[in-house]
Amino acid sequence: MKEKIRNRFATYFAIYLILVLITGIFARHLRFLKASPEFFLLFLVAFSIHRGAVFGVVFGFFSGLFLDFASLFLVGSQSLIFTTLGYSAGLLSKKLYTNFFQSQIFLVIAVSLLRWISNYFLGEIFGVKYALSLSWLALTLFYNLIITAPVFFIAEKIDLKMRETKKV
Amino acid sequence: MRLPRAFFLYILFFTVSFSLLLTSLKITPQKYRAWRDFFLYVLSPFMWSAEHFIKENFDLPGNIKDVIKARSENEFLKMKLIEYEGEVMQNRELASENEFLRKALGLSQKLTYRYIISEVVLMDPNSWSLSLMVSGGTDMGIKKDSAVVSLKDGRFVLVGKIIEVFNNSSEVMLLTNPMFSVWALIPDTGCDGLLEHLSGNNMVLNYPSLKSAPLGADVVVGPLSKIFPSGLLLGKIIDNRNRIVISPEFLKLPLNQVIIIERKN
Repeated sequence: MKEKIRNRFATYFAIYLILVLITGIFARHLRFLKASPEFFLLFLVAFSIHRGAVFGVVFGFFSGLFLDFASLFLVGSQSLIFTTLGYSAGLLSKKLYTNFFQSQIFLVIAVSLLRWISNYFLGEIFGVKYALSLSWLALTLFYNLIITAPVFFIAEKIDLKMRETKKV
Repeated sequence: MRLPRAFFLYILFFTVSFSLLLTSLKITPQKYRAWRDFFLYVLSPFMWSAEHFIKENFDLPGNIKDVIKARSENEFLKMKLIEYEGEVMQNRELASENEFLRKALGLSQKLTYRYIISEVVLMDPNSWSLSLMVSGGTDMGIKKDSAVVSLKDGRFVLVGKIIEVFNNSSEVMLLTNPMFSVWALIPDTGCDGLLEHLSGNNMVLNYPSLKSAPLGADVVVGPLSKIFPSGLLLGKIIDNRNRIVISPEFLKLPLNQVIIIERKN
């Protein structure tokens, strides 16, 4: 039992570390037209849908915390938003047909918009301007939509693998 | 109604996040930047390593180019291989014919050699140009008078000969030793003679045949040499006014490893 829990946490930690690296690389070097896809957000949603609200909350908090440190925006804002988004996505677990591409697209558009709107409002409340150009928002959304299918596919595969390991 | 565990967890993390958010009201930007920089400083080696790994291993355009190039190269090499196979068959036929004719004429059989790679273990500063010691002796079947060579552009260059064999080391008399002499040939013109020490690191071709010896021409071991295989490079002609002076080629090569050519029969 203990070993199973340890393995599960090791998998989560590995996913987190990979995402940190991918996000770091994309943020620094692989920006196309000054924008890059939001890996953390997409993986958070894709995993939370499969693994439930508890996972969504914890993973959302830690990914948000990383983004808080990596950006110049308000400390705690990203962890707050990501925790909420992770929890919300987790609540939708088993209530949404995530195999349909339309559902995935809908989810990604929804969480992307929610994130930006929340950022904007938090910025307004705490007196830090969240100024982003329309072209950046459009490009980021476009990139997010491009990687939606692969991210959901990977998340599903990892989830299946973990479930199989649990059964054994 | 019992609330789910996830909800309590959410409240907990929400509170922590919100507390963090509240601290941003008090923390000065410098302090925040310092923490952020520290965090990135700790994380940066991982990112650099990952970046480096990705650049090195996921060079997709380069890999595609390589694959395309490899295909054409493969075709070319296949053709070459067929050509060489034909040549090898031809050479085998010639060799058997040559052997048959040699037997018919009553000539002695050509010698065959085995090659032993050896390391230079000692070079005495007092006798730098006279001799050196190499690894391997009777334990490796090394015999006296074996040729010691080095490699230059895939060609054997004569360094000297074995003069003393010990259990696990051998003494080599260098080409520049005044006691050394070898029958030499200038392949370009056919001029031959006895190569002997002149002065310093230079050598002279004594008793040369009456043929020209152009400057810069290669000098190799002649076919009349009894102990060395013919064709081993000796050096190049650097003077031909009064005497044919030769600069030994092995002096231009690193002498940490040598090859001992041992006669088989």
